[in-house]
Amino acid sequence: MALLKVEDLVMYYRTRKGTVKAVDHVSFEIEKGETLAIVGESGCGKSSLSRAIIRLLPRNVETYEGKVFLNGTNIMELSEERFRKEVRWRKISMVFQGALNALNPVLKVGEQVAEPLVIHMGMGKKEALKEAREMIKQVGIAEAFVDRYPFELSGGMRQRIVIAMALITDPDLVILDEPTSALDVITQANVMNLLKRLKKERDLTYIFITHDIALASELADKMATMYAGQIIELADSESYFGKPLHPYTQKLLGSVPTLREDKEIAPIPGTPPNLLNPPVGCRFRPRCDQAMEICEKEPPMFSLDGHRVKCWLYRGEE
Amino acid sequence: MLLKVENLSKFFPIKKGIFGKTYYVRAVENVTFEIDKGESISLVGESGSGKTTLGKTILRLYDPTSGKIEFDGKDITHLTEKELKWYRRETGLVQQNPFGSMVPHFTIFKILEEPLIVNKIGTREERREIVYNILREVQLSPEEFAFKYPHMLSGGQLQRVAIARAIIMNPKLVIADEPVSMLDASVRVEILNLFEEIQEKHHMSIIYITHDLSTTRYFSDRIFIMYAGHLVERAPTKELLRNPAHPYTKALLEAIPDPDPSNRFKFREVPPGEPPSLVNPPKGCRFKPRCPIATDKCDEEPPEVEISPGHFVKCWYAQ
Amino acid sequence: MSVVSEELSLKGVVRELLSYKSAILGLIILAGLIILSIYAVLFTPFAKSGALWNDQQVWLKYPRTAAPAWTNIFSSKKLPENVYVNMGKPVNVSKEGTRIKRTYVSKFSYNYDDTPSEIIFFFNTSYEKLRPKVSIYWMKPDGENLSLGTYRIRKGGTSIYLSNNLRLISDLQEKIEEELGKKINKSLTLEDILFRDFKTGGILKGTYTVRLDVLVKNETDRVEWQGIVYGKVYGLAGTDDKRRPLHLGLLWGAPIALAFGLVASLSITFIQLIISAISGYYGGRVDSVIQRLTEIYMILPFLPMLVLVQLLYGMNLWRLLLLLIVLSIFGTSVKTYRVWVMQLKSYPYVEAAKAYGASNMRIIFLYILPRLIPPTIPSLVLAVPGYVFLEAALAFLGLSDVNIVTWGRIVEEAFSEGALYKGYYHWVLMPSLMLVITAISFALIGIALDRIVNPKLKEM
Ligand SMILES: Nc1ncnc2c1ncn2[C@@H]1O[C@H](COP(=O)(O)OP(=O)(O)OP(=O)(O)O)[C@@H](O)[C@H]1O
Ligand SMILES: Nc1ncnc2c1ncn2[C@@H]1O[C@H](COP(=O)(O)OP(=O)(O)OP(=O)(O)O)[C@@H](O)[C@H]1O
Ligand SMILES: [Mg+2]
Ligand SMILES: [Mg+2]
Repeated sequence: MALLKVEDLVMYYRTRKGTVKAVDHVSFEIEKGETLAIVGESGCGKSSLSRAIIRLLPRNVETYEGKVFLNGTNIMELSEERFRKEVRWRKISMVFQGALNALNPVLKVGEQVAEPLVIHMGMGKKEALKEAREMIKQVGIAEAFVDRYPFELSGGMRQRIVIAMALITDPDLVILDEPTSALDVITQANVMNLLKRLKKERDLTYIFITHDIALASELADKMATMYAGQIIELADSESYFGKPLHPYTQKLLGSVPTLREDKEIAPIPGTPPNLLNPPVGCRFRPRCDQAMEICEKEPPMFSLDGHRVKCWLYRGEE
Repeated sequence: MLLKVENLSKFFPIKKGIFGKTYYVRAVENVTFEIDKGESISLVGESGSGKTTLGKTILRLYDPTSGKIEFDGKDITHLTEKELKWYRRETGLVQQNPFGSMVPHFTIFKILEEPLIVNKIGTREERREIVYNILREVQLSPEEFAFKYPHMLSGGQLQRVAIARAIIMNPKLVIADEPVSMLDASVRVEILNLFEEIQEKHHMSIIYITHDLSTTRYFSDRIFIMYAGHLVERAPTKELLRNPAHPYTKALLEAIPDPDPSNRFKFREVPPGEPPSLVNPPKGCRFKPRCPIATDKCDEEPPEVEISPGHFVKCWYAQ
Repeated sequence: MSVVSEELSLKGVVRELLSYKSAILGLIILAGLIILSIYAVLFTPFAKSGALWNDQQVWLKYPRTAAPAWTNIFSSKKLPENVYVNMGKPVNVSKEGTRIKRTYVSKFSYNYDDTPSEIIFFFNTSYEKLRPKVSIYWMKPDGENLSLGTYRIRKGGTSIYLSNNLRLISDLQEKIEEELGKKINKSLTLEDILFRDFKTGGILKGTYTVRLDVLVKNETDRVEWQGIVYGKVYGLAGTDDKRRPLHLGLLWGAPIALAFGLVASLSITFIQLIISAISGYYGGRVDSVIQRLTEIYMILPFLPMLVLVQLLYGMNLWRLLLLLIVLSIFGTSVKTYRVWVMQLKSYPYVEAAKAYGASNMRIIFLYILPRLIPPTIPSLVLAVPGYVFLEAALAFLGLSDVNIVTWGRIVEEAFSEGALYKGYYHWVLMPSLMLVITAISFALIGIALDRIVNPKLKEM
């Protein structure tokens, strides 16, 4: 049984200009110990998807529905009270985009790391602080820093603190939303090393959200492409990088500059779609050079030996 | 030769406390290089390594602390703002962040016209012509964009306007400070391609500042690597990527992944730690505290050696 | 507060402003005030308003300290308005000795519940030799006939203040007492005598008849007359003790209040912006000097200084405005604006401008100042009533410009005449109402603008 199974998850925002379909019928599943990387351009709904899973919704959410099974139970049916007590941080925790810059400036980092234990696990403060100390060591920060304030730490160290906060409750699933995009490459490599190590040591399950495909390959067992609020391709990393199916994924990979091999890179033509009124049918159609007439109808997910793709090109090849 | 920089340093004074001593942030120290006409240079380094400071000092937006800048054979190191007028026409700047770089209450047309007005170029009609042409050159249709305001444009479009503004006076040197860092990868390539095209067409020299080494190979003749205010290595692009000589450059290359599913099975060998404080940097080589091959010798500042034609390294152990 | 970075177009602001009901109300009131002001300036002798206001002769035909006419709506006792007894054609012309006697009869109906405030007869005469003589007779609805005396009329305009003619009044009182056969314990007024029924003490309603016998020497001698039975209510805003109709004063006060408030607020804000821009942009010594100046200004006793200068020099309104501006330009807002300027100065676009060679002045005036204007508009609007009130307050302290009619001055005159003790509430209330309405309109607009321009208060 999959650790997490998401079925037809929908989250729309209400805005003055209309409905923003940030997460539009998204389905996927993750096995225990597996990492799913979700890649996509800025604004395609990656952060919204992660918020929808951990159910931390902005006030202006208009529609929020679908099924999310965690170890077989549909956690969408839980009341907010029960979700907060039993799921959030206990089972699913998250590293928010830009969280390293959102740490509470007047709280020592040790206390900050201990906070989830106090809030979500109802642990005493003293005990929580002891665990926090241990956790901070685990993410590679010297104990001396436990009693410092966030501004006294470098970006890389703060990112480690944020990761420690996500791991301290020993959750089954950790959602990492752009955990390194604010960091320098060497620091990023160090943090990625840390994430890899923790994954191995603790048999962690990650959802790794990034716009950087090369970085995604550092962690991903499975890759998903998100485009305009939908997941349009989902496959194991080998298959995804070796033989991408969706024209968008192909172009996305083709636009990534590489350091070690000589390859031509090409931009993706056109502009990303507007989530207020996305194109009818396949959402990539206006930018796709292989678009056909049928693309005006929304393609279903085709599955080619477990490699799933939402594109009419693969009709009949299942 | 277009630009010659010799032992250039820029220190920022900072005061600690009200009566405290003045300290200096040694953002750029002892930097020497030359750039030819039409050459494109990538200046690569981590955040805070002094790339922007170096760029702005070259453009005389900052006054150099010491050293010398020669442009087209003329010493511009200590010219006053008045004497710099001609230099402003010969240089262009694309800033790090396109979002704050345009006067919000001006239309794109006005934004692009301003440099021309300030430098008294052309009549009203001529300026209009110039602005429309430059918009076409950066692939924005003048009819659609000339009278929009900056907040109506996407990041990529703004970046094009920023580029258009930098090249509108047909300068000999453009400094592009992370012109694509705010953009999505797919748009990034497009903008960089555009840049390359324009640069070749106008035969401009470009210093392209970035922290992203992976894009540089596509767009530059030479790469300069900066670390903590020092220029630690400079070499032709292929040479640098193939034979990195400075331990920092090697670490940088090691840290950058290419898309490859086997990445997840290995750890990257990168030095731990962070770049040093520039107020109180280590003596000698600034990479020493993190360097796997450092010795006591490194407490002395290494000289720059040319290990192969055009490949300069500032390291005692470079071969 | 941070400077708004999001673009606020004028159109957008207006559209958003119109989504606030309170702002719409404010705008409607303000529009009303503006229309009043335009009307006052274009269609009334506004340029001469000060002189007119000070000239007592102009207002003779208005009742004294009359309440606004609409107060009758709210009162069971209907107070009289002015009744005009007009000349008409003579009903009879006859010879009396060597003289010619012209008899005029005028009727008017009187149905109010109170006596009028005053009775005056106005004459306009031209004659050759002898002064004309006029006898006035009064017939009440119940048929009682009273002779109101005989008067010689001088050349030109003459007014006969019957109500002040104490001889006549005491004669009439005696006559009435005789008829009643008993003494009346108080001295009656002429209005009591002419309009009351002495058996009941009530007002006699019905048709009154006035007869005038005019004796002239020559056929060509001309005597024109008009009698006015002055009411106790008048117009929209009543009158003051000098018979001046307050609605005119309020009307003339409107453009002045608006202009004073707006000019003060606009110019102070604008000059402060420029000073802050220079201070924040250049920094260094210029900045220190300006900052010290603002600190000195902060401890200066602003109002007393204003009063003192005004007492010593008795300036007119516009000089006062100038002084006010001078005394305010280094106000505390300079500090706030300066912080904004320093923030804007660090924006990349300023650096970009330097990179293409723009001068400092260009950067300040074209790039920085326009950014500061939107966030200052709410406080600018909100400050307007403050200056309007300040002018009123100075007027109230007796420091107003005597050559201009302002709301403050009207209030001041009311107080110095003891209007509130004497029950002339309208005299104080009407100008105060104008002040308050003005304040409310600016406040409603300003608060809404603040919400729009200051995104902290804005919801998603
Ligand atoms: N609270 C909100 N109200 C309305 N629209 C929103 C809200 N949050 C996000 N959006 C919009 O929804 C879309 C998806 O946003 P989201 O933050 O999920 O994108 P993302 O893929 O995480 O982008 P990035 O890579 O830039 O972080 C965007 O168009 C965004 O503007
Ligand atoms: N005006 C200034 N005053 C004081 N210190 C400064 C100033 N500008 C830059 N610095 C410092 O100089 C150092 C170099 O900064 P610089 O902006 O040149 O780095 P950078 O390489 O461009 O970094 P990034 O990639 O983040 O843009 C940093 O430590 C920075 O804090
Ligand atoms: Mg996001
Ligand atoms: Mg920089």
